[in-house]
This record gives sequence, C-alpha cells and structure tokens, in this order.
Amino acid sequence: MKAKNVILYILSGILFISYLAVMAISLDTSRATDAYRLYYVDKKVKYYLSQKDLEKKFCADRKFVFTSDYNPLNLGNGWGDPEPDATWILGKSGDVFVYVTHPERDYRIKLEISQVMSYENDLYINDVLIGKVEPDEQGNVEYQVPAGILTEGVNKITIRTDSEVYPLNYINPDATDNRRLNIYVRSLILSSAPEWSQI
Amino acid sequence: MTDSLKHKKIYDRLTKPYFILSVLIVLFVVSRISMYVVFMRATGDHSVRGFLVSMNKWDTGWYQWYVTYIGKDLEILHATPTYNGQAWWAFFPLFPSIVAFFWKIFGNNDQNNILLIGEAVNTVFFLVAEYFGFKYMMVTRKSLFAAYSYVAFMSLGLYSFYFSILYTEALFLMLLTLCFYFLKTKRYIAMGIAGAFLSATRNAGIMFVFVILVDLIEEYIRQEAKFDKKAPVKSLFSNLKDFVVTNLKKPELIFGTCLVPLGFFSFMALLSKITGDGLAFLHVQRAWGKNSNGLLRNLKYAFYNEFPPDFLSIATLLIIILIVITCINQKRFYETTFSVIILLASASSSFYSVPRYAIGCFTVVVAFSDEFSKFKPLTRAFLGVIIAAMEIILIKYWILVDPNLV
Repeated sequence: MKAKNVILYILSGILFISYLAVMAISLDTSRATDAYRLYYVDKKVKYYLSQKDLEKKFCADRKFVFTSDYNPLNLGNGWGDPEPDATWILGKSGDVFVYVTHPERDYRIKLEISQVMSYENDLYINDVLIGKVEPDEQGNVEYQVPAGILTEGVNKITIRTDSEVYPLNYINPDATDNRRLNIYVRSLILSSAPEWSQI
Repeated sequence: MTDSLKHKKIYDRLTKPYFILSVLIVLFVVSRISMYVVFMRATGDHSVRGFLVSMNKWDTGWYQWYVTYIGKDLEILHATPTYNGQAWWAFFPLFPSIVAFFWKIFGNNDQNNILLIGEAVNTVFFLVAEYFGFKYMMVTRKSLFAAYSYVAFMSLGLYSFYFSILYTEALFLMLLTLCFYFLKTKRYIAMGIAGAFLSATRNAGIMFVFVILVDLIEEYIRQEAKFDKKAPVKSLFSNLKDFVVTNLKKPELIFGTCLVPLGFFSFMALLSKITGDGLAFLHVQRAWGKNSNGLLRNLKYAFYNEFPPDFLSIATLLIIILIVITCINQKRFYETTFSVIILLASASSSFYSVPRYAIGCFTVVVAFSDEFSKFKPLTRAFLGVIIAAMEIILIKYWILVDPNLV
C-alpha cells in the first residue's frame, strides 16, 4: 500500500477516535454549573438564572416571594406564571430550587399559602417527605428540616399531591379558568437558625 | 460552417468561465438593483448605505454582536447568556469569525461597518456558490439551460436577499455546493475540507455525511450490485459486505468523509471547555422557546386545527410536494436525502424558516431547476414571472416589517 494511503487511513482513524472522545466528554455535563444544568440540560426551572444569582439570591435565608413583582427565577416545573398575589401550582406538583452553602446547620422551612383547592398536598425536600401542607389560620406552614436531607449546592423543594388535579371549570362549571389549579403559594423561606426568628 | 459546429462553438462560449461569471454578475447586479428600487419606493430613502444597512434584520443583530466580541481579542469566549438565557453558542462560529477577520483589517473598529463588510464577504461567497452550482448542474444534468436556470433562480428568485445580508446563508450555500461538486467529481479530500468548514458554519452541515453514504449506495447499486432472487437475504448480505469492503479500499473517500464532521466536533470541544456542555448549541435553543412538535404535527396543526393555513404553511407543503415529485422524476436520492434532512430539521418547531432553509440547502433549487428546464417555454415564462414577482413582494415585506412589533 502506498505511504500516502497509509497516512490517510491513520488520519481517518485519529479523526474518528477524536470524535468519539469529544462525544463522550460532551455527554457528561457534570463540569457545567448548577444553574446551567437546571435550565438548559435538565430543564427543571422555568426561567434562566445565572450561577451567581442562584448562589447569592436564591439561597437559604432568603425569602422568595412568588409574585410578579419579585421575579422568582428559582421556580421549577409545575408552576404557572407569577401573579400579583401569589403563584399557582398547576397540576400535581411544583418544585422550587434553593442553594445551600452550609447543609450542616439546622434549618426550618416556612411557606405562606394564599389559597388551597380541595387537594391534600405534601411537602418534600430532595424527594424526602417533610410533612403535610396544612396552612394555619395565617396561611403558614412550618417545619423543622431533619438533619442530613439538605446537601451542599442546589436543593429541591416540592409541593405535591397524589390526587388527580382537574381544570377549574371542570369542577365548577361557572368558572372560566381552565387551568388545573392546585395550591396558591405566596412565599417560601428555608432558614437556618438563629436568623429564623427575624424573618 | 455546419450547424452542429456552430452549436458547438456557441456551447463552448456559453460554458467558458468568463462568460458564466459575467452572467452571474449581471444577474446579481440586476437583482440587487431591483431590491434597492423596492427599498426606495417602500421607504422613500434614496441612500445606498441606508439600503445596505436596513436590509439586515432579526438575527443580524446577534451576528453583529458576535463579530464585535470576536474582534475584541476573543472576548466572546467569556461572554455569558442574556437575562432570558439566550447565548452566542446557538450560532456556529465560522461565519462571524471570517467577518471579524475582515472587520479587523478594513472595519476601522467601527461597529457600523460590520454589516457592510459582512455583505461584501457574502457577495463573494454567493457568487462562488453560484459558479460551482452551475458547474455541478453541468456535471450532473449536462444541461446548459438547467444550469443557467439555477443561477437565475438563485439571484432573482425567492429569498435571494438572504444571501447578501449578515446571515450564514451565503457561506453555507457556497461550502455545501463545493461539497456536492467535489463529491460528484470524486475529489474526496477537497470535499472533506469543504465539509469541515461546512459543519463549522451550521449544525446541519454534519448531515452531509448521509449524502455521501446515499450517493455511494446509489452508485454501488447502479454499477456493482448483484441480486439473486433465489437467495435474496444471502445476496443482500453479500452485497452489503462487498459495498463496505469496496469503499473501505478508497482511502481518500474515507479520509474526506471523516473530515466533514471536524468543524462540528471542534465547536463541541470548545463548548465543552467553556460551558462544561459540548451540546450547548442544542440545549440553548430552549431560550428561544422552540418546541419540537415535528413536521407532521405542525402540518396537522396548520391545515386542520388552524385552517385556513398561512403563507408559510402553504409554502412548506409546496416544498414537500416539490421534493417528492423531483425525487420520483430525477431519482437523485442523495440530493433528496439532504432536502429531507433540512426540511425535517427546519419544520420541527415551526414553518417560519422552512422556505429560507429550503432555498439555501442547494438541492431543492437544483432539483426545481432541472424540472423547470423540461417545461414548455410558455410554462417557464409564466413561472419565472410569478417567482420574480413573489420575490419583489417578499423584499417589500422584509424591508417594512419591524421585528420589534412581531
């Protein structure tokens, strides 16, 4: 075989192996930032947020107000668009993502609920059941977060019902809203003691 | 002089490079003057600079920004997404890099010159594309009329303005045309080099490897395949094995084919380093809100749910019909392969870009020109006038539409 042909075959082999290597590296997105993976790769958040925002603004000890004034970028899938008073979870579940730098601390989680439809919801952190979402008279739900559930980095808070959620105009024929309204949440905070008492 | 000798002399003259180039340039100038006249009448603005600048809309803003940040010592490598997640890596880097190169030399660091330099560069690309498109038509169709029809449609036909403004259309068309030309003239290394640049221009460029494959299959079936009806499965496997072995023995073909994805994978490697995600160019599409319903679902939506369909839906359907008819008539399946790939990719989210990508994918206009050359003269005249008139209307719409209001 001519030398030129041998060189061409070798170069072809090098190119082919390089492509396989690049593909293998490209499929591993562990080197991308948490915020990047949340929005672009895993598509777990509705809106784009930068890693800097995630770490500084959507972190523990910050109160997230789910109204249209406050631009809650850490809302995950399952939520409607923020409204003047609160945001609805549409369907069975809604996620919120919170960045935690010190998971070893003691944390409490507090929700403000504006309205509940007839569904029973549970509260989860990183898919671990924390308790039922049963608002008190002021619409608050509070729990101590058990140790070992939170991790350093992005944590997922989920409000979920096991019931089937129906469109509002299916339940109430007079209603014009055809969204699957589950629960209307105004705010959430994941707070580490002793800052808790000041929120 | 006998008639045949006279015809041969005319034929030789019509195929001389200087003549072809002269025709290309004349057609190009006529079409761009027509656009300028439409611009003047639509806006009342008589300035040439005003015309050249205002033809650039929509994505040209992205490319202008892209060029600026490449030109500023590759600052683009550190650029982060916008507030809504849109990022520069949605656009492949070769075209803006070329424009940035010329902008650094001739642009005087003035951002306003980016559009003009881009248009100048694209003009060269477009003329080269047309020239090699002509040569491709002569190699494959051996018809002077079809070849000149092709260049006429590209200059005077629908969406021709895209090949002059700051978009990747002209560069992509040029490189794609070169790929097809070198493939059919069996200059595989040249094909690979053009293909490497092609896949660095747009992600669709990597799909040319399927064109190569289909062309090889077609050629093998035509020339070498032996099918035994008494043992169909055995002969199929035998032919498959022979096909693979035959083509593996062509080192230039193998190397040329391996070169095509080089641009694509180089960009992936760069994105992997910058973002940690080699498929960032794909994932970033989310920020533009693009769905992926697919062609069939979008067709059903346009022609059933939302009847009557709009202009773009009708255009998409006509393109599909054109691809099917030309495939049946011409049986150049390697060309049809690329047309179908582009159609499926561009129509998966909406029909908005389908006509533009169809015109820019080379094979659709080539196939149409082939059919066109076989029509009766009156039909040709009628179609030609319709197409030219529709282009005038498209140009006027393009000039007058305000992207901020859409």
